[in-house]
Amino acid sequence: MGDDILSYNGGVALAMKGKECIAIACDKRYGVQNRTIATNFTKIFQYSDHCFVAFCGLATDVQTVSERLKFRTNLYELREQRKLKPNVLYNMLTNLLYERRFGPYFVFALVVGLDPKTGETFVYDSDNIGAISDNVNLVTVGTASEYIFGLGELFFKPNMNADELFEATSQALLNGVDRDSASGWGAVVYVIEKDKITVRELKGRQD
Amino acid sequence: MVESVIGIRGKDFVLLAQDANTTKYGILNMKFDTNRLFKLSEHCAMLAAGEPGDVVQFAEYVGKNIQLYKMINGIELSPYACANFTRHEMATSLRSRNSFLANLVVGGYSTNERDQNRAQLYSIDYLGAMVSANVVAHGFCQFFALGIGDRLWKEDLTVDEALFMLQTIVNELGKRMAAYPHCVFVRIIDAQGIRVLDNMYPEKIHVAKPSEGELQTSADMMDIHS
Repeated sequence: MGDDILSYNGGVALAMKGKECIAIACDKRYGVQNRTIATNFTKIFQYSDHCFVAFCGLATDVQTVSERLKFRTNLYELREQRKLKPNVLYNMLTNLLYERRFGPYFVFALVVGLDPKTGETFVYDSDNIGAISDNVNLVTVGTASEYIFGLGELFFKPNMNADELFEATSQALLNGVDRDSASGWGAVVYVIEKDKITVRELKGRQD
Repeated sequence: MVESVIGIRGKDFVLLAQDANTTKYGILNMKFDTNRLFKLSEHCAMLAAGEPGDVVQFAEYVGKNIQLYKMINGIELSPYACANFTRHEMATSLRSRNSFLANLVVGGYSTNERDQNRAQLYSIDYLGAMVSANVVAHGFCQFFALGIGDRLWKEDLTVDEALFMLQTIVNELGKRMAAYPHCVFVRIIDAQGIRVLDNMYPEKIHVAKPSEGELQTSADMMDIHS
């Protein structure tokens, strides 16, 4: 792994879009280079009824950025007296990251959201200095992201329903992390639909 | 890296163990009764290891601030709250002029009846990454403690089982670590508070005497006087 800060702790997350539903998934490993310390470190955080963010990279920054973003979203909800929309959350996050442009946090982020009234889906990703992406079908971040991009492109079909989307996301994640020593040790998948959010824990190869 | 700090979480208690050596220049043993435990509140304590000055400065700073919170607000912070406060301070100081090279184990018993898990144990590394686990350790002893913990930890661990696990870890450290832990201080935190248990020592290694056969060489076996 050398001295690459972004792969010091390892970890991976992916998000995929379906028909009026989205899936976001991450692995559960927390390690320090080649040592695994814990297997309960999930990287997905909820910021609103249907808005989720996944952070991958240096574990301390995953926790710091998620807390700092929570602070800003809490203040937003208190001042505006309404819940966050996904594109607003995304802009807040990229702004937070760009504020540290010349001393950045070492996390890459995924932001997903769903509008419960219209069913419109939002899936965005960001690098560690807040580069803005389009609203895309598939995003991945982390040490195994290249492997999962390949699998994700293979399993993705447009307009999948919630079950197909869960299958596609899970298979892409589980098989991708098997190729990366710094990710794995179980996974968590959130499937977000207009009326419900389903959380499933997956048990993959425990190595 | 050479100092051992270990935490084991059981049913309604947390066991905190630390080696009691202070070494200097990598080879000298200066002190055999070093205390690495810093009390944060009546039911929460922190073990700290790493750069000597940083350890004491950071641990005392966090400990005193938690005591101050109790004086101002009148309530004792749960181990979860203490650990999160500690993590926040560590993460904030990381990108400032004064960062601390200290690895911490924060453990305790929560006096809040609404908490699901009353025994809480956290590991915070020098970068400020916090994780909750059943067995936590820092330093070279991590290799031994986590492996032995994977094997011996189970749900509803009793105090005796936890002490057995700890003795196994200490024996292994005594056997395999060049920096031999002469003595390990053990504390337990449960509903009654923080108590000190008996010290733990590594098991004495018995090595068989080398056989007489090894003292002979092939030259001895040749009879040169006949």
